[in-house]
Amino acid sequence: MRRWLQAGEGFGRPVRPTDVADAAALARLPDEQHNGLMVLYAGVDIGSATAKAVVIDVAGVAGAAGAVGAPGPVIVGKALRPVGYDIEAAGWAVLLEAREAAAPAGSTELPPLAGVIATGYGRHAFPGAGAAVTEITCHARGSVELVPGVRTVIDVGGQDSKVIAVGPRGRVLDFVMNDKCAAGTGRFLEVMARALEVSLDEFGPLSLQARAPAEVSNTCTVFAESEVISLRASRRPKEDIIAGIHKAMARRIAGLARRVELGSPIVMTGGAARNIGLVRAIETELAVELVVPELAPYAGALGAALLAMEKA
Amino acid sequence: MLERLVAAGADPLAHRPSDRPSLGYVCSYVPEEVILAAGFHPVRLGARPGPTGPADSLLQTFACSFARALLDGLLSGRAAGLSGVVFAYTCDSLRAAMEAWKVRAPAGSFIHFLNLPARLEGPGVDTYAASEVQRLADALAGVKGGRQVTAERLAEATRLVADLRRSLGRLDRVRSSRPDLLPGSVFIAVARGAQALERSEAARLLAALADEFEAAAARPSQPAGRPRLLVSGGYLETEQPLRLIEESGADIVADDLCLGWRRIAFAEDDEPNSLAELAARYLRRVPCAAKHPPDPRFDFVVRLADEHQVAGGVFLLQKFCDPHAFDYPALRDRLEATGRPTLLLEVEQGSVASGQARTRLEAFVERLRAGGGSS
Repeated sequence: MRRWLQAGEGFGRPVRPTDVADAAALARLPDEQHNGLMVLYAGVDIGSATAKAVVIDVAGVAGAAGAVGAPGPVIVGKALRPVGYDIEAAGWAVLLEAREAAAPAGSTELPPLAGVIATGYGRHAFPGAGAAVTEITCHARGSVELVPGVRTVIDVGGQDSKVIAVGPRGRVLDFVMNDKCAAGTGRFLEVMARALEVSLDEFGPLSLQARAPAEVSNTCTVFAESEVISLRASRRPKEDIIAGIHKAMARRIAGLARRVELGSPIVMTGGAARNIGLVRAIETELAVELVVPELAPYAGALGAALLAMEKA
Repeated sequence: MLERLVAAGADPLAHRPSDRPSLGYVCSYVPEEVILAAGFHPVRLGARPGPTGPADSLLQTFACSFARALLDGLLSGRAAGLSGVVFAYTCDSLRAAMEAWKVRAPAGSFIHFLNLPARLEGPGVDTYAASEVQRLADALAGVKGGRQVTAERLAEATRLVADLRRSLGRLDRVRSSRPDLLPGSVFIAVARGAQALERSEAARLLAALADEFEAAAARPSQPAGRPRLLVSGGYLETEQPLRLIEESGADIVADDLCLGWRRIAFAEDDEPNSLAELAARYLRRVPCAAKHPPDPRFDFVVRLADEHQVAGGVFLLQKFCDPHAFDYPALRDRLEATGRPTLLLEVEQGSVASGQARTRLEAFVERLRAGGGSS
């Protein structure tokens, strides 16, 4: 008789594999990769703009697809979706998608989860997790897995930007976070993208073509938007305006970063890390080189999954 | 007992005694003893939390929300049942609030300005402060319902206030040893109530409360394993910022707050015999950020951190409060030099914006739990 953990059953408590999967269930998994055992943990990062989920397999082996450190846990499923009004629904949606991705080929059932941790600003609003941990701790933990030896994390998300000094095993040594204001966050970019009628994906590449970056103030999103509208009225090329926006944001983030002890490697995480123009502007402003892992937007969810594993 | 004190702190004007006139005062440097000895019930005037109204058009944009809300309360008639209001020189924003009130107050309102020095050391400071406290006593004797501050009346008032402080001291020790029984936020609510309720009733309640908490604290308990924190800052309109810290998983076991230990921690064994001695005692108390030099306060905070074995500190600074903002970097460095991380949160309109502040506080608690001491 097979028994997979039902959705929601394992949440709220760390569940040992012997509790949830019988021999027949384990027999369905490819032995050579999982030593006959598949123990999954998930992290759900519900941010202000997007929700992310990552499912890891504790018993993963080195060299497996998606391995994030060898030997050790392997990412077996991930998902990212925009967050709407219902933040809980967004959390369930990404978790479901990531679990579906984690299911072995041909399986019609969702694989069980031994533990789930939620993070991000919606962490307390997601009942599917057994515990909530802040995104600061999770980004630090996730980043050290993506870039071993990382000393500093710059996380630019939808409504917050944070700079974290990271110690061994992803321990948070110190952190700073932007104030109530949205300047220097992903939301700032969204507002500007709307004013310029340019998609966020085009923002980075376009800004790299700028010949004379415009001057945009870095103090307030609302004021900066009216400056951008003035620049638009004076027929400045879009790429120059976007480069100016990145420069303004980079100055803001650099001001934050200088408040902690910066050490290399410096990793950039969060959704804004996908914007190459912003990454280059921060590098110029701080005179450093940033490492942007491919999974940068998932760093928080990965950290949450790893913490779920370690706390179990 | 606890409920009555907390309710009085939340609404001081509704808890005035009916058998004598009440007098409002604004700053913790106004000696309650003199108001009591002059025959009045002293009411520490707070400010309602939330958005401000008419005061916004009378005060400069850099005045803090506390000064605005205080003036708003006066303009909306909150002081109507009081015999008057005593202000002390604290900072320019509160002085501006007083000047605006002087212009707008109904004719004949008693408004006294106790112009205590901001610089607490130097030639003539003691003589000058004594003359200011004497001037307050003389002014109060002339207010309807007031009386001369005689030596006996002053002695009685100082005994009562010292008694209150001793009971709060006993509660402070319970807060430190058993924050699970007496959370820091509740301690501050009780201390606030002790500045609102009729003082002999407050003294009786506080003594009984201290007995009760000490008895409860004597029973064994499981240590909760929550990080022990010290909070530092100015006047808090509500306990919301403190509750937010506690909800984030830490205990507040010591404070350097205007309503709390900074005001209470007077030497217990020397009861002043004259207005001059009383004035000197206020000059020698743990200073607030509006006073100079700042070092005695810095030393006090570091000593508190050691005595109460705190793991870290949270600064709760009123937004636009220059005196506290000026002291903050030096005080932070002093505290962090002892290996204790700190966190800064800004308070406005009585509360800290909860979403982001909660993330910072929880991350701070996670960092302390992970043993991320000095960085």
